[in-house]
Amino acid sequence: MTEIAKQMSLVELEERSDEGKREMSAARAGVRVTNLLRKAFRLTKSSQRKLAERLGVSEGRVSQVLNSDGNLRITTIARYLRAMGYELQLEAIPVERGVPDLRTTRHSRRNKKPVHVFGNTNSGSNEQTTVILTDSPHIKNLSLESMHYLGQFQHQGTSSGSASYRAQRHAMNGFIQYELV
Amino acid sequence: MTKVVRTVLADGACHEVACAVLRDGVTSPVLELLKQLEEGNWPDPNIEEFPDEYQANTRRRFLAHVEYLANFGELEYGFNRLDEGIWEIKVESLRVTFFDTPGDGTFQPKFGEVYDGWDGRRAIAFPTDLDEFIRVGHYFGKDGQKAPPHDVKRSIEVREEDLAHDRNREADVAG
Repeated sequence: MTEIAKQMSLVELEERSDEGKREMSAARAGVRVTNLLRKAFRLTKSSQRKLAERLGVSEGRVSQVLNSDGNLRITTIARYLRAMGYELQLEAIPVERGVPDLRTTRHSRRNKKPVHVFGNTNSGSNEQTTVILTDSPHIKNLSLESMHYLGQFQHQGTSSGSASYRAQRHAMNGFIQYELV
Repeated sequence: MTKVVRTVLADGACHEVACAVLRDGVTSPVLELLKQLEEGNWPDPNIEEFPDEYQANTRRRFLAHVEYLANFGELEYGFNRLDEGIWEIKVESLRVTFFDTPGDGTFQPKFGEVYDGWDGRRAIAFPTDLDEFIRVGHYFGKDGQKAPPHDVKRSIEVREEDLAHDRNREADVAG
């Protein structure tokens, strides 16, 4: 709709210089960190007091962190996220030509892969939920092609809220099977 | 009629964020603000000596907020709801107001849901139903608890001036 939509945005123009690239990257990281902490806090319905208790710090410190510009120690971010039920993961994405991708990992020589089961039972009773078994813990990042889709089955239950499952791998009659445990 | 050119700050998966253009079809207050920040000469009410070297940092943090909004369609902090569908982005003492539009010159105010905030006080969640085009219109420096009424009023006027360009273009196309 805007007439110059095809032209470079001001953010892109900002990143034409090396200094601009570095400083925008730093500003972006700060904004993302605080958005992440605040989103975790809001969605888990945490309270400042409860979080302070879990972390063994004062409520004032929690307030300081959640109200910061994101320029925090990486260990502080990890602790706060873990106290709210999340594991911080770091990823460096190549944005310059010719730099190697840091995300590739050595191929595992181990046959036994951990199995992660995804699926939530919705609140209410007797609801069926499709559960997906995969060997990746990051189901959101998986495309259909890359997902090691190992199985799908129905769970019928009466539990409310979210439920987590564990699966056990069995070799039976020459077939690999996964069972909920 | 001369085409109105809006400077795009960030073009993301959720929104295009651009500078609103005044009645003259040329002036974008936020574009002028960004130039002032780049030179460290934005008249921040809390600063006594200019140029203020730190303002380049404030400028980039503002752009990072805008980019986050464009990419993810939400903000968890650094914003306030003002009146009549006007919202503001906060970076330290800088306040930049914005509004949303489907791009045809119309506008529907969005309100955001109320919830218990991180500090136990009532908070307003960022609205998840903003239209595709976001325009940053007016700016001011925070020097009190509430946004000055004349700045809110000016933000609404800027919205009207900006949206009039879209309505004129729609009328030209139809005519």
